[in-house]
Amino acid sequence: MTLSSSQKEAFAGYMFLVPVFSGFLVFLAFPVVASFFVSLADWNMINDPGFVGIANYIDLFRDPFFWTCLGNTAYFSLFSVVIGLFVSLYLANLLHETRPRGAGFFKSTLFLPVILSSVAVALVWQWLLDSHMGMINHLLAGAGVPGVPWLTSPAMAMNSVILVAVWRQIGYNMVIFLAALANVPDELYEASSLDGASRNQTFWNVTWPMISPATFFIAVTSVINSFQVFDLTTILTNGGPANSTNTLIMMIYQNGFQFFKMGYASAIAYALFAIILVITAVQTIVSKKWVHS
Amino acid sequence: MFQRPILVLFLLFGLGFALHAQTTIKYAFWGNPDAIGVEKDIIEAFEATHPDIKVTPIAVSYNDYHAKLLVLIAGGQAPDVMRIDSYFFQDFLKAGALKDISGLIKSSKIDVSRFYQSGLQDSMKDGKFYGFPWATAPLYMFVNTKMFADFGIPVPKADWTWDDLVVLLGKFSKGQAENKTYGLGLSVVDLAAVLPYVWGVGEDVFDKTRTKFTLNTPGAAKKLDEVAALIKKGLIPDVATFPTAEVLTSYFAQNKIAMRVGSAAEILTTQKIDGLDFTVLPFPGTTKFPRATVSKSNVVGLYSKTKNEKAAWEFLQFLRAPGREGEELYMKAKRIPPTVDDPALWALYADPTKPPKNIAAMTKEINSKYGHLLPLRSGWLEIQGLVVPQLQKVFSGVVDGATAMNEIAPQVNAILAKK
Repeated sequence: MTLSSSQKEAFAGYMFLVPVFSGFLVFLAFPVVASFFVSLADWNMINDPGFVGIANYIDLFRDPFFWTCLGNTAYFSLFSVVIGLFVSLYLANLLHETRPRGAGFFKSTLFLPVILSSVAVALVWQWLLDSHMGMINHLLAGAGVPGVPWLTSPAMAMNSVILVAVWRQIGYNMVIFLAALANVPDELYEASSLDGASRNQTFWNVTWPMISPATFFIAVTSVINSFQVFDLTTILTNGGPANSTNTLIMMIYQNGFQFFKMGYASAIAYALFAIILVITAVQTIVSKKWVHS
Repeated sequence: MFQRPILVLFLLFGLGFALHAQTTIKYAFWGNPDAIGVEKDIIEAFEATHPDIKVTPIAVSYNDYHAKLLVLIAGGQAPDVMRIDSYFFQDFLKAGALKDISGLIKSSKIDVSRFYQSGLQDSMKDGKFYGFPWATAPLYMFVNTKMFADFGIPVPKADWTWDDLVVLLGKFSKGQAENKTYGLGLSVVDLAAVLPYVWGVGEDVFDKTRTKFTLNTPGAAKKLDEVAALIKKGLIPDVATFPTAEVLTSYFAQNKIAMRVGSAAEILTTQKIDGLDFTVLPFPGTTKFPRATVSKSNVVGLYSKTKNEKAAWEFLQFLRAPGREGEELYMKAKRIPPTVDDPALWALYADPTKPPKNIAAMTKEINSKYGHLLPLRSGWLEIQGLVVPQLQKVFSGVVDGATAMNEIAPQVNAILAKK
């Protein structure tokens, strides 16, 4: 059988796809589908799984710890995304507008946390935020401010984790905002200036709508990432004190690999998937009203 | 005419191959790079005396170890010989991952009575053996001798009590802010850190049958409130100060806390800190309930479905059976304390040039008078996951002991009923 040149081309194309597609099937598609079936089973990874229907999901909704973890995750997500978004937008706008000498240095410095290992970042922050021996409380004491229980108080711990998460993500967000800001046509600013718009009016009526696709992208990816927070909370506080920083991903890890409850862990994973899906869908629908196309 | 000699040659070759066929077994353990060194030595020593058995090590860091073990078993790649932390032992046992080796012990005439009883108990279920003990050791009270000397306070004797400890807490609680010193650092990351307090008043986390949660009894709750009151008074630092053992070690090394509870493994890391001198004591109980020191042992066992039982059993004996080479090599490497009461092994393990110099004597004393086994059972970590955050709330002054423990009692009892 002889193949035509277009068939040969198509065949070659499929052949190029095989490595990536195999990896996708084996390492992503199969585990995703398999974990759904696991979520319908009672399985400790050693014995054969036993089908339990939706019992794991019913248990999940009755489990007060799930709601605690979901609340913690939502709190973390809301504040880390909103603060991270606005701080990085402010810094990007500042760098874009003022174009200071050494702008490259500032950009690199702010981007540095993004490329650092999250474990190393968490360990360093753990020391900085230590209630008794940490540098931050030491500096506060020098200024006459009493020590803050950054990681030791259930009321403060999640806020401290958010602080570290924001510090870590602003560099990444800022780079995207800088690229978006650079693409805003100068004519729009000229027109705005001729119309006598103030700096604030120019920002909210010209810059903000023009960079809204970038804002939307950052908001969606940040929410997805924030719902998967694990490394920072594990190293900084290990979910404590008193579960105040325990998140859904930590709950999945604990149930799957410490309590031998793979079915339950998979059910939490699917619940998390559904939550992220709904939030992303809502974001996408709402975006039609504010994202400039 | 050449057919017969060729056939004979083939048969001889086949027989020789069969005789020299090497069995490969997999041995899983946790450890850092330092710890892997001694395992390598043991494997080499074993292979030198057992040329027909090859041991493939599976070394994983502790934090990921038991998850990895589960994945290996689920994936049909289970190791033939595996170490298991006692916290996970009952769950692995219940899942059928470990082989009952009682028959093998009997046929090989191994004198298991030589093991410390605490180690044996943590390797058994219903009178059957599912492995040999590994790292049988108490959770010692580490005592910073420099701080005691600086404060002019003599180091207590092994028979000290809770009341003595409370007096010491008052004496060590000095200074303000970052200059503040404390008598005791308490890290509430697991049940083992808190149970000694309630054992000292005759209470426990479960009843004798380990089927009913009992930390909500008036006696246990009162004790938790008593510890919380000491924290509130500033005699013990806020427990959240120490989210990990490493932070606790750091405070101890910087002379901020005079005492802390630590494991035998933590002795090795603490020894590496330059200029730090420390000794060890039992956790203080009361005259009526002196057994308040956690005594814990991990296990090395065989996979229940191992296809290389003979070779795996050979290796397990070499590794852990009393009087065999593995124990001696561990002692020479000072990796873990002896699991049998043998002065020669203690002499190998305890480095006279390094603190704590009283470790051999104190371990013996703890084992005989002050040791208390954890009431381990399946679901232990799940229960711990419920109880520890509540304990953190109690010690942070958010809620009282009885309320906190009653809040989770139904959930804990449900796990106890299920498991």
